[in-house]
Parts: sequence; structure tokens; C-alpha cells
Amino acid sequence: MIVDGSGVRGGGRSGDPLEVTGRTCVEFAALLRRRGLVIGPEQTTAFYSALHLLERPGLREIYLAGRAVLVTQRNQYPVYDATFVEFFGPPAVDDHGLPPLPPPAVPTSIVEREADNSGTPSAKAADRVEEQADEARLVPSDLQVLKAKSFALMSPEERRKAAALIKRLSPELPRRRGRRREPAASGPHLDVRGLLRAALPTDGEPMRLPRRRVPSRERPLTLVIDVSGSMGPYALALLRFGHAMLHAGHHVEVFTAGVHLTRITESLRRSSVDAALRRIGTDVDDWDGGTLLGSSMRELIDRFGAHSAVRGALVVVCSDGLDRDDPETLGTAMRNLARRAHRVVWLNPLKGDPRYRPLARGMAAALPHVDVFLAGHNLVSFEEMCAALTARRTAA
Amino acid sequence: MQNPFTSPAELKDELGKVSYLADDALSMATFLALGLNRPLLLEGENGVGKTEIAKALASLLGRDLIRLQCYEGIDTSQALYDWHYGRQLLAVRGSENNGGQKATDVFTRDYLLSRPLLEALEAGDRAVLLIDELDRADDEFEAFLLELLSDFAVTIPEVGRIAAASPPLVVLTSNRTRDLHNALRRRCLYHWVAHPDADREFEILRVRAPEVPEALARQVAQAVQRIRGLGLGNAPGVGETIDWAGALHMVGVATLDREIATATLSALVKDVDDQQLVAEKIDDVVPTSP
Repeated sequence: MIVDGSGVRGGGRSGDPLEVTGRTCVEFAALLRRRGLVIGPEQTTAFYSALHLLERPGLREIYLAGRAVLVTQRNQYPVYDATFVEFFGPPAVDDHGLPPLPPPAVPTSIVEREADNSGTPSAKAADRVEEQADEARLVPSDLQVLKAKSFALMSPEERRKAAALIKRLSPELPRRRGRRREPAASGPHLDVRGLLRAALPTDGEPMRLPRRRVPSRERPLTLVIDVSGSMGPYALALLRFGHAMLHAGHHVEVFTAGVHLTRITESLRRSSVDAALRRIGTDVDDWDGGTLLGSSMRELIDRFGAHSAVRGALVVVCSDGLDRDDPETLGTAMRNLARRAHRVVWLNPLKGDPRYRPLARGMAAALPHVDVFLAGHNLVSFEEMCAALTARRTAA
Repeated sequence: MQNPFTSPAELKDELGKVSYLADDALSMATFLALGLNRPLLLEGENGVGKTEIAKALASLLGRDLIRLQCYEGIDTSQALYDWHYGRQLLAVRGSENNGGQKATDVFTRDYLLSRPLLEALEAGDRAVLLIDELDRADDEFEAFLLELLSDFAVTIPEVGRIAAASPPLVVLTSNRTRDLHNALRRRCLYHWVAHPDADREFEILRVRAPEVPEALARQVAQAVQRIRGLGLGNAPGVGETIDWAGALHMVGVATLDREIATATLSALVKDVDDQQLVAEKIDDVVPTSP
């Protein structure tokens, strides 16, 4: 809703001071919420108070004040800018070094098709029952066939069975030493605080020595999934794996790589995998486009190079390595990735064919920086991936 | 606490007097932080001067800077308070041996050791509290900061709630190695600190390294701008620009040329791959005609 004379009086542009009422603040916040920002009522109040602190604020001041109060992350700046212009008119908007808003994404393709097969609301309850039945119906020999079958060749029914199996993969991720000390039944450190507590009833004579230990922390798992056309079925299988791991309580980050990098972890948090996949279909605007893999990986390093999603993490890249970028870009990005990550696993479905040789220039550039190179085109290969993730570094 | 400034522009000027050149957005965010008594959350690349702003504010307002450097595993006993266990134990044992009355309660303020956060609460508006690199602490610690940041109070189970008489100015910084929780973000005013553009960096050089000649400073600022555009793994920060200008001045050059730029690159670019990249593109970085 655009407020005209009723909310912003004076109607002036830059120089003229504006009178902004409480109602204007509320409506502006409401518009920002509709544009996707999460804004609490206390932020709206703070925005109103902020404007009162400023004497006769101009449009530029309102813009800056609102930005400081209502925006909580850098990547929200473009949305805020666009909404501000829509609501108040154009102030001098800052250049944040961020790309302008992408055009609204068109929900497309694979995700839609796949999700719609099984995900209509009426089918959901039935699905769950059927899922269990599916597993029960699998006799061992069928299971072997299914496990060896490429995701791309599966019928919708087989895909559903495979999805249930993916959910049960649940590998144990390697752990690293944490830093925080916790009270524990036994451990190398003395718990002085607990000791004092325990000693009070005995007049300061410690009768037992409580301990603290340093629990280990699980390493994060990061999936980078190529969503170019040919990768569809494999990408979906890996997304299901990511969803299952996320909901099993692991620290998981998921990115899609296409023309650019998109972080989709938040969309995957939905409890229903089909709803999550549908959501991703609308979030990711470069499904079926060509791949600029090198640029996408470089963006990962630039934006998340120091982030826990990369540093010390287990990174799984799933791509056929057919890259429209200069192979050198991918090679450099992968080298930087290998230095920062704990382990890099590359899944290339083309490797499922025994005649495959990694000759695509992008793939050849990336390979020296990959710890484990697998196919990831069927369930057997997914199991290998899990083993590679779990393995201790020396074995990998 | 009264906000000593009447407008963001005034705050900006005053910050300039203590050698911190803020842009409009940052002075607005800081002005509001003072006026609304809200913490100021600063995010940005390494070396853009996030920590410096807290120092500048402390010296401008004439307050003590209390700094809490976060790291993984930091907990309440390092950040907020700890008990003086030795004295507590002695008190309990001592009163027993002397046959006097028992020291029934050793969990009082007398035995409490203040750590930076509690110190800041006790100092109130005589302090600027800098919680540096919050992203390095773990989630547990972040959750525990929520009460402090919204109410400027902490609850110590044995003692009760300790509130600041007047809220201190709180500045938090993050390098985004981890995502901060939205609950924390919403309690703060947010500002993304970007690398300065060439003009502002030139002004910063004039203020922070006044011994460097003006012409050289301008060339340095422009060269650094181009170097940041090369897409290095670690782009140089403002601090490094100042170092580089100082290094060039120290070796006694008046204008920047390619040879000396390459030779002194170690003061500016701190990664061997990045150094190679800059050396390769040195023709673009330092144009022939100044």
C-alpha cells in the first residue's frame, strides 16, 4: 500500500522536512514485512522514536534511520531500498556493493513436477503410510536393483522408495574438539564451582571432586548442488539427503549453484520434504539454466570463506563439471575451498558410467583439490559418500 | 543518559575530531544507538574499522572502553562474573576453625569477581562496552547476551538481578563466520561497514597518517581501490592501507611507481596468492601517467 498525502505530509522531496506519523511507521513496517523482512513491533516503535530524535528529518535521514533500526542483515539492504522508494519516494540510496534485486523467480520445472507427484495435501497422510509399506514390500533382491539404479532412470514410484532409503542413510559425521567445558561425571578438568557447592555442607571439606570435560563438536556438513538441467534427478536426491540430515539435528548448510550461488538452508527447514522442495523451486531462479560453476564456487569462498559453512566443514559438491566459466576460476576456487574445508567430496553422476574420464576442463581443474571423487548417481554411491564423510581423515 | 549530540551531522563532525571519519549512515546508526539506548551491531569485512569506532566513541565521550574479545568456548565465568573460590573456601573453613559462627553465605557480592560485562553494567554510562567478534563465541553465549542487551541487566542465580543504573553504550562487531541469531539482531541497531571509497580513504589517510605527502596519499588510496577490485581472497583493510602509505613514506618515495609498489606489497597484501595476483596486474593498479 502506498501512502500518499495522509501519511507523509509536506509531500516534499529531498530538502523539505517531512512529518511522519506513528501510523506511517506502522504501515511502512507492514509493507516491509510483506516484502519479506522480519520486523518485530519493538523495531517499529524504535523507528518511530528514532524519527523523533531527529529534528525535522529529511527523506535521506528517514532512510538512514529506518535502515539502522529495521534492517538486521546486509543482504536485506536491497529489499529495504526498493521498499523505501516504493513507500516514500526516492532518497539518495547508498550503494551496498550488492546486486540489485533479482526479478521475481518463476516457479519451475523439476521440483514442481516431482513435488506435485507426491506432495498434494490430500495425498500427504496417505503418503506416510505408504512410505512404510513401500519399504516393507522391498525384498532383498529388489532392494539391490533399486540401490544400483541411477536416480535419472527411476520411475516416480521407485523414486519414492529411494527417498525413504535416503532418509535412513544418516551417516555419523566426524567430530572435532570443542572449547567449552561442561560439568560431567568424569573428565580431565576440576569443576571448581561444583566443588565449592559440594563442599559447603561438609564445612568446606571437599568430599568428592566434580569434574568437567570438553565435549567434542560435530563438524558442519555443506552441500553445494549444481542445478543445471541435466543434474535434476541427482540434485533432488541430494536435496532429500540434505533435508534428512538437517532434520536429524545435524549442522547442515545447502547451496545451489547455477548461474549464481543461492543459499537454500532456510527453505529446507520445513518439516515436509515436498513442501521444502516446492519452496526451493520458487527460491532458486536458475534451475535448468547453464552452469557458471566456477563463479558460483568463487562466490561461496568470497561470501562464506570464513564462515563455519566452509571453514572446517565437510563439503559435498554435486556437479557434472560441465562449466561455462573459465576452468581456471573453478580450479582456484576449489583450491581455496580445499584449504579451508575439512574434507571435500565431489559427486559427479557421469562417473556412474565406467567409461567416464574426467576430461571436461572444469572437472579436470577441480579434481586435484578434491579428497574423494564419487559418482553419487545411485543409492550405492550415496552409501559410499556417507562412508567417505564418516571416515577419519587418514582413511579418506 | 542524555545524548550529548543534537544531530547525526554533529556526531559525525565530533568523530572527525578524534580522527574517525564516519559516513552518514554510520553516524546515523551511532546517533540512534546513543539516543535510543540500543546496542549497535556492526558487521563488515576484516579491517574496515569496526573496532575503531568503539575506541573513537569512548575517547569522544570521555568514557572507559571495556572490551570483551569473544572466542569459542567463552562462558559466563570469563565474560560476566566468577566466584572467588579460594576466598570462599577459606571463609568456610576459617569460621569453622576459629569456633566462631559459621559463614553461612559465601555467595554474596563480596566474593564476586567482575568480568568485563559486569564491569560495564556497574560502570553504566561511564563506559563504552565493546563486544568484539561476537561470531567467534558459540550460540550458547549469544543466547545469554540477550538479557544483557535488551534490559542492560544480568541475573546471577545466587545474588539476583543486577541492572545498570544507566545503560552503557554497547558496540558489537561480527565478521560473519557464523550467523548471529535474529533475536539478537532485532535488539540492536544494524550497520554494515563497507570498505571506504577512494576519496574517503584518502581523507582517512590524511588524518591517520598525516606525515605522508598528499600526492602520495591520493595515489595510494586510488591504487588500493583498484586492488580491492581485483577480487583478492583477502582484500586489504583500511589499517593495511595506512601501513602501506607509512611504508612507502618510510622508504622515502614521493610518488608511487610500479617497482616500489611491488617491493612494498608485503605491507598491504598478506597472502601469497593475492600478492602474485597483484604483482601480475600491477600495470592496472599503478597506471603509468599519474
